[in-house]
Amino acid sequence: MMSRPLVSHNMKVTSQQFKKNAYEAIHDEQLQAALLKMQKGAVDRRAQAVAELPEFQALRDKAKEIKDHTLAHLDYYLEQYEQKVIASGSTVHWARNDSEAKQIVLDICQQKSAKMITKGKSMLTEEIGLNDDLQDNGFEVVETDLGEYILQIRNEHPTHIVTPAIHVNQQQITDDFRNIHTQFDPKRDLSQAEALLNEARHILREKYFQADIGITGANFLLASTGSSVIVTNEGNGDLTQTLAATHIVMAGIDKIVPSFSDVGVLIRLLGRSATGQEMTTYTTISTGAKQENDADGPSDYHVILVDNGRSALLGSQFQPMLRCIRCAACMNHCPVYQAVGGKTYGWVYPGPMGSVLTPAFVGVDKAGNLPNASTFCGKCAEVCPVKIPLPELMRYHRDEEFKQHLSPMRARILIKMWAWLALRPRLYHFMASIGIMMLKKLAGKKGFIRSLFLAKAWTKYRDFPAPQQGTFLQQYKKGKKS
Amino acid sequence: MSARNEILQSIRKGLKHQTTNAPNENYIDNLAEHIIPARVELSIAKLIELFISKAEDVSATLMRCMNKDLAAAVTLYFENELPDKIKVAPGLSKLNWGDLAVEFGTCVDADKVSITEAIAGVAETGTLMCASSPETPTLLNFLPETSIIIIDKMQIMKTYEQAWQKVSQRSPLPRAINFITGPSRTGDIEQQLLLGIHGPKKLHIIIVERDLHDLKHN
Repeated sequence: MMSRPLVSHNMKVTSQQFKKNAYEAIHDEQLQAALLKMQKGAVDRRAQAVAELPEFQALRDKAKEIKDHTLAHLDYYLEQYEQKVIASGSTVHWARNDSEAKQIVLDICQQKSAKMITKGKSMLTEEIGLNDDLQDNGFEVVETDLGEYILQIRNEHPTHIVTPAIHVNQQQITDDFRNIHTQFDPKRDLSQAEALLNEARHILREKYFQADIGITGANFLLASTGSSVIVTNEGNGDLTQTLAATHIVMAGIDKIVPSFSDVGVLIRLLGRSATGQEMTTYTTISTGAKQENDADGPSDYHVILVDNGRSALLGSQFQPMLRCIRCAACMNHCPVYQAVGGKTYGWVYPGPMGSVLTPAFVGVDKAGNLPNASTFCGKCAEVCPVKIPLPELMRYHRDEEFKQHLSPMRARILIKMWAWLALRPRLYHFMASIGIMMLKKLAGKKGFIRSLFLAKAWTKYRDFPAPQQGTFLQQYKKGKKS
Repeated sequence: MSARNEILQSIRKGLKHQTTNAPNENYIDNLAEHIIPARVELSIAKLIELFISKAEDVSATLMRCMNKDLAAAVTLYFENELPDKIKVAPGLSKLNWGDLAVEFGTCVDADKVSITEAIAGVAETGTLMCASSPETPTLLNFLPETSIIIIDKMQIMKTYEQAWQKVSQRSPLPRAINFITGPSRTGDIEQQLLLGIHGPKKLHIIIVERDLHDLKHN
């Protein structure tokens, strides 16, 4: 059993209410339309991009190897990275948990007498709840990724790790822009998506120039050069980190890779897995602050390396989860995510990767519903670019939940009964053949059962197919004779 | 104990090592063996064609010209609507810009058009690699609505790794190295593909047929 990391988490965990959340999500027509669009778009685009790169599977093997190697020597590569950043004249900070990470950011902001902070997209800062803290301390914080900006003005959290505002529709964005951007003519034409885009461009452009501090995440940290790598389509991360006087990079300790050749392998997988793009529009490798005679760039460059529960996963059965490159392919392809969306999962990370990470970070007592909200179809593991065995890791959480007596009494009793029966093959076989006989009787000629005792919740929405033949063993024996 | 040491100690505890766990050198070398997509195993001429088609796939526009015709190529690109001002990378100040209204330096918000130079092109995905320097400031790549980037034909390579070789030996490394694949885009409004959210709305690539450096030194 892994030891529980001693971290607190800012964003309220509502994973306990998964069933209630799921019910609401399934009855939310707008959300369902958005999810259907995602299913059609992201899934097909990825499939096409993969089909066009015969080396894709070999790259997945290589990526897994790179990440496993790095994790096995994580202390070494972190120290190497730190030395290189210091050599480039910049500062590395280490944070054990969310509160330490936020305090470091606050200290830098106060030291710089900052007023405004722009931010590139960063799931880590969502994880630690950075924005609320900065705002409580009187700083203006502006998210610059369009999706994150939309969520910020709506006071919502991301429901997807790559396209965070996937649940919001164009009409809502139009209404929000009219409500918030009161400096413009209320009668302006916002009927086209381009008009919304231009308005956001205009508003955020001002913010980049006003910002004292730009905070970005990192997709990768290069140990050999002390560089941070961000991958974006919008270019917002680049403007954030180039125009503010101080650039703060916040990254989990799991973002380290040894060198650029490793980034080469990983970026060939990242864009294709995330959005079906062969290459994301901007991949930027940043090393330190503005150099002598450079015309632009920040004067100060800080990196905050955040643990927040990650090092505790090393050596545990959940170590493979630290390979994750946050591409979202697992959620895009998950039949459960496709049905209920990201908010249902109740914390920062949704979908299969969230069903592994959330219980690992906040505890199986709070998020035990998530690893159970899986059909174990295995699609997530099949598309994962770093080959994380997601269903297997979810199963460890289920085991843990059972051991801790957290699962419902009825489920525990039924599982125990089944286990007792399964250990007695003759009896099991006998009971199964009775069951099959009864189901056949119930179904009659149609072969389907409209309503089934003990499975009402299931038959409420669909007919139960009756078994066509005997048990497997009966059929097997029959086959042998003939 | 400091946060740093406690995190490193926690990592070593998980990895079951007492001290820094340095990797075996051979393993590092082994990792550096790249998987190079077969699609780039082409003649130089075909490689340039691949670069063009891949860049067009991501909504960039392209032109090829001899470098003495650069000003004419830029004029042609704008057809009859020449911009009032074009912000050009200081590193390109020695080129002949003809009658174009060029100004040298990095971009400010008011600049609508920029011209700068890429160090390398990557045929695999139609990607450009630019690096920050006093001659090629970063903001030229991000602030204007129309970004024109010049790439020497001879600098179109197969892969990102080959492009990286062009800068990796510099000490210090350029502050910002930008791999750019098409103009800025977003899918955040109902998953529609929209160009030009923060960076350029248009990316125009001019492949010049002779080594730029020859001309610069003329």
